[in-house]
Amino acid sequence: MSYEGKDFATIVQEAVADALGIDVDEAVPEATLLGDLGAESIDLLDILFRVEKASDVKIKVSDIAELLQGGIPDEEFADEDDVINEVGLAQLKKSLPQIDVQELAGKLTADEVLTLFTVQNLTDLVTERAALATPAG
Amino acid sequence: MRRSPRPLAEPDAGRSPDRPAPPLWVRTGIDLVEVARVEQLMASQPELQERVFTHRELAYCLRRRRAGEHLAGRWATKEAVLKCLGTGMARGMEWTDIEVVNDRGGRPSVRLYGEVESVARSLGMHHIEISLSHTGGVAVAHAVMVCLPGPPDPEPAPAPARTTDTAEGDDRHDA
Repeated sequence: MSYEGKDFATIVQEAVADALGIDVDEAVPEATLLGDLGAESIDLLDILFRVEKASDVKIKVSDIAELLQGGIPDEEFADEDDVINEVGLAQLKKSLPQIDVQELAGKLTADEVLTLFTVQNLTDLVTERAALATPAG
Repeated sequence: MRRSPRPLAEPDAGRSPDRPAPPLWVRTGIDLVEVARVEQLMASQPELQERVFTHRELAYCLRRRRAGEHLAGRWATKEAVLKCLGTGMARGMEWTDIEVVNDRGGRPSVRLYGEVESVARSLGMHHIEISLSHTGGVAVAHAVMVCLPGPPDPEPAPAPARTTDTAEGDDRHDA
């Protein structure tokens, strides 16, 4: 995918690598930002700002959480112990297609959701936002 | 030696025994950040400064010799407050919704705005106490949100969320 000739996958990979001080080769699409690559929230801020400068697509840290939950209220997304329920997992699968819903059923807590977010998921989000911002045709 | 009278500021002072004080409860958050990481980010992405820090925070920090430590302390405070809320950076929140201000003695306190304030009030926030320190390349902040029992107060409090009398860092500051 491209936006004014820019390749979003490359933009995201470079942003991740530069912000975290790692090689671009390490910022593979399947790597989770917080888990595999050890990003902290300050790194997310850095990554998203680098992406914005390179692609003109503005994404805030709070946008990621909103995207993952898809507007579903907290009480419908997770049970009283904060374990993501069936509705929540179905929603997560839309944004994070790589997850194994059956494997995570009854185990995934709300605070762990962001740890599933990968480089590829960010590329998809940037691509989606760019498409929304660019008139068709 | 004559014993001093017990202070009247006891939690149950003046309260009749059959009407015990309502239990307050607290939510806490703590955050630790490397000063060098904040310095590096603000140097490499200077445009981010105004998205993360308020004008007042920048004015305070940037006129100090160790501006990076002060900025890192404020970053850690914002994170610690978000941990109190338990939401992280949720929808509609901005980093500038959490502002550290200092009184004339240099004591830091925190003010909340926008969505952060709304969420805090929905949790029954009465006020937030903070303490922050920075030395040895790291900055740490601890936030304690004191909440009232029962339903949250829908009306904004007359005064901004106030804080601790713990002086910031290892030196005194101007207002």
